[in-house]
Amino acid sequence: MEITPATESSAGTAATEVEDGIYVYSIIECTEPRTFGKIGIGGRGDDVYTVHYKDLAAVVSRTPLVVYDPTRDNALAHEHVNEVIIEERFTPVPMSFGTLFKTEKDIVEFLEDTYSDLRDVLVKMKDKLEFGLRVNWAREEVLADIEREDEGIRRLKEEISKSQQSTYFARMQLGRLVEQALGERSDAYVRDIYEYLRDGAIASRSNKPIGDKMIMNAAFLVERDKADIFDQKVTEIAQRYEGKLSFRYTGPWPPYNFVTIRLQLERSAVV
Amino acid sequence: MLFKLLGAPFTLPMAGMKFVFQQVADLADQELNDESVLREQLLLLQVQLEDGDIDEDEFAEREAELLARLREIKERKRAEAEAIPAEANVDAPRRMIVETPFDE
Repeated sequence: MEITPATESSAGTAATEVEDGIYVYSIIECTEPRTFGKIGIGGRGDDVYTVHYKDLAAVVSRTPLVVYDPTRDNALAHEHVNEVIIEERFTPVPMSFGTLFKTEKDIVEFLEDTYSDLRDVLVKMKDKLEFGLRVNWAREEVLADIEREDEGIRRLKEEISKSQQSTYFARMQLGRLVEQALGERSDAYVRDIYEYLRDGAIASRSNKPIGDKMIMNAAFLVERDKADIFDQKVTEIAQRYEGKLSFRYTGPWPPYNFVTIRLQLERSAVV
Repeated sequence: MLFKLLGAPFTLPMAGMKFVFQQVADLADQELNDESVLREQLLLLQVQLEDGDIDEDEFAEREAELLARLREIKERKRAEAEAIPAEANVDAPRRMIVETPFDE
């Protein structure tokens, strides 16, 4: 399938006569035209509406034909539209951030060309939502625990504090043992959390933790009807680790981590 | 470029040194060129804001800085793409890819 993309002009250049394009947020199952309010990306208050092909619809808004930087504001605008769609009980299959088409006709062509793939994905994702869970640890608390509980580390620490001689190698050794113990704790916490939440979710995905406080950065795919149960389980596991771990629980999101639709140039790696 | 300057490894005293320098050069190259590094830094910034480690003002300032660098890289890539064959530029046909890691 080949789609002629919108020609990209640079953001931030003299904004006088920029051509309009159409921004696509997600694909939903929907046969009747719908609007979702004047919440389109770009800050002009553009109407968010649907472009249809058979029983599929792209959720879109008009926008100047510019390249959108992935700023927090832009990402939140993109996100907010999908939030509203979820509230209206649709299950959006998300497009990647910043997807623009030149005309509605291009979008219909895209829907037509990818119809069977999109249908498959929509069936798979029907009534499923994503929740994000990031877990930070209080490293100092865990460290204190380890020093209390780990016989070997405690003894080595005592030796170092009593010793008259150079303790360089003992200190190195201690550092290594502590790092290892911390790693083991972190792995055990993460395993336990996944284990506890497994029943409540259809699938999970583990992303790379961000920064040095985070030990878990996961996404869970959950049945819409069972979201309450999943919430409950997250609350319970968070209580179990109170004081040691802090949980940041977000959603519902469209299943970003479980399906994405993106445009790729056929001949070049530059997207 | 740093990488090219280090292109005479036999003059370096130790093989180990060569390896270390190579790594440094690779990292430097990556920092300069790799969008993904900048994207990760943007994510980190977001997390720091949410955790309350930085305030809105600091966030805005550093976000602008990172985005400016990201834009530079994109501009350069676009320029490079345009300099090579005509059909490789952004007007080339695009393919839609539907990815479902859920399948795996």
